[in-house]
Amino acid sequence: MSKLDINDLVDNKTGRQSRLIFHEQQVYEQEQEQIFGRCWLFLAHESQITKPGDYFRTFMGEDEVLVVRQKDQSIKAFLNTCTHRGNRICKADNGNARRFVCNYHGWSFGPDGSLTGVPLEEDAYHNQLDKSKFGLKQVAQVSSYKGMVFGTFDPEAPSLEDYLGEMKWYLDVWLDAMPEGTELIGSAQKVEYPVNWKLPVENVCGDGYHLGWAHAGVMTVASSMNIDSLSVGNTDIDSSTAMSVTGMNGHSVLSTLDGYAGYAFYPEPQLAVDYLDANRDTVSSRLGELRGNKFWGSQINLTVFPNVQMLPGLNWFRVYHPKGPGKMEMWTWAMVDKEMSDELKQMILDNVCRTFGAAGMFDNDDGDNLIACTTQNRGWQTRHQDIYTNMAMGKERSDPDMPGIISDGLIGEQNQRFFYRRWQEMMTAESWDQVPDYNSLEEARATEKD
Amino acid sequence: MSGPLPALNPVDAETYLTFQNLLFGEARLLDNEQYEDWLEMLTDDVHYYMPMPSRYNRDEKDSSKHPLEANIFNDKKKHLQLRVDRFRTNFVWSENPQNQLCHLISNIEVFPTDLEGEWKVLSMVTVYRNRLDGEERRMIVSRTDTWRVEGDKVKLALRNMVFNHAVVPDSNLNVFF
Ligand code: FES
Ligand SMILES: [Fe+2]
Repeated sequence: MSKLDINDLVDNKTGRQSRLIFHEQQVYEQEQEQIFGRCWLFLAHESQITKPGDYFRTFMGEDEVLVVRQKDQSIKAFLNTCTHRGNRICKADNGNARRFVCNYHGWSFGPDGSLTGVPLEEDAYHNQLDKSKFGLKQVAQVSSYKGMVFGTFDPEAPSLEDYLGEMKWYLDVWLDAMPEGTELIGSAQKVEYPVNWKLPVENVCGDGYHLGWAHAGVMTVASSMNIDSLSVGNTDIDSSTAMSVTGMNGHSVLSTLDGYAGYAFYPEPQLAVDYLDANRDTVSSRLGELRGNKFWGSQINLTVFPNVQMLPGLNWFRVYHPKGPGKMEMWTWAMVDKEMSDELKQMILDNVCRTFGAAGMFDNDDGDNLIACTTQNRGWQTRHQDIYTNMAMGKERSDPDMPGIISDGLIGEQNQRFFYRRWQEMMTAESWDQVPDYNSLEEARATEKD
Repeated sequence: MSGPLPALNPVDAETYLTFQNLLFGEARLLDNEQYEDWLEMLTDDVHYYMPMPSRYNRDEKDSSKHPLEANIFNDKKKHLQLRVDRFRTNFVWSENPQNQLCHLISNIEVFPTDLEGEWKVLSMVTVYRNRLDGEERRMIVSRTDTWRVEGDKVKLALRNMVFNHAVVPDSNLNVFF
């Protein structure tokens, strides 16, 4: 197949995507290099690795990495692969280690990734091996934002703070609402799907349209509160009670504005409602009335480009690891405020598992739809059709009190359009100078490609 | 009964057959989606429990454990009822058309406990599913049950399950194990 031109595969002005972007190996390889090789990617939550030597094994794109807490409390990350012949260094999901010893020939590496021990270094290598040149390959930059540790392979990437940009204003609704911040609880629920990684991101970043339809079953039985901006069977909605926000360099938000609906899909939400009532003043004093009253406690979907999603209220945190164009692994945790009581934490953990875990009643509705959106592209005729996210185009607005580009309602396709716009920008930019920066409608229009 | 179980199951053949029939009957109800009948087989205080497996190094298996563990199932009867209610809305599109579903039960062992009218029952279930794409999915779960006499029936009071897969190999678990 001849080389595909990424410029032809997405058209933000009409909301068009070529289905080839969900199928072609060459597009996927380019994503590994241009997106997963350059963007800031989630590595771990600080609460997962608190003591020196604590480690967590994860992925950046298809590259397996180890994230390790250092003696000085800083965090390093390196490729989980031995510099001798390439074996995997660590096979456990997480733990604490004074050193990592390779199973193949026994080379050992310190928690900082340096090569510290080589069996038969004298007798077999005749002391000719320069150990300082064979440390584990480090992730170029590692940085934290309010408990969330990110890394990038690109030494030229902008700082994490700049990368998150205006999105921080919304992230803080969860990460900085309470004085002690957040923690991940429980181990990750890992599910493998034959799905292109972009489809679940698209689904959660902006697709409120599918909720009342794809999830009609569980919404019928598990809703304990009304959400005016949603309805079972998509019959009628009130769009003034919710909004989608994007721009913000491809990050996005979907949110109700009622301050409670985050707990609408808890059959018995009282404990959580009490928590919101008891702490709302604290949050308003920290974040201001607007975020304290309208956002905190609401049903919010936060997406950090390219593959991280956080839903306060439903209280889950998720990363999608690509495994080829037609496969991905989805890792889901429960995330809570540290101040919450153990009883509330347990209730949240159980509800996360029941709604969005491996046997989660919501999640179990999404899988087959996303699978078919991926696997139907095996058909040559099928994958040469275009598809569209063109709902409510031109209805975007700005708001003086909040960052980003706003559309009213949970049901829209603005966020998806900007996700694919950012995807295209990262895929085509040769350097970060060529990646446009936009947070307002005017900036987004000025930088939009023809 | 506490401590390790004896190598051979010590119940008489009649008791053993009773439990074998119970487990086979339960499997048939689940294959046929007779969920209300299945719920009848459970005590009102049933605990239906399946933690998410994690891989730790042997020497730190316990120290690495989180104080709160994520579970695939951590359900009381009302939660199981909620799952059944969801199926009954007929809005669970992934179960329509009906999928092929077989619960294959094996490795049954029955042990008496210190309590009169209560048994510990070990078994394995292989859940075989075949859906629209014709792809076969097989999940193997080890079960440690407590069954208890309630009225004139023996009912399931606890099902403690081990999901023998590091990564869940199916896009939904619209099934009971
Ligand atoms: S491959 Fe790791 S020691 Fe040889
Ligand atoms: Fe969904």
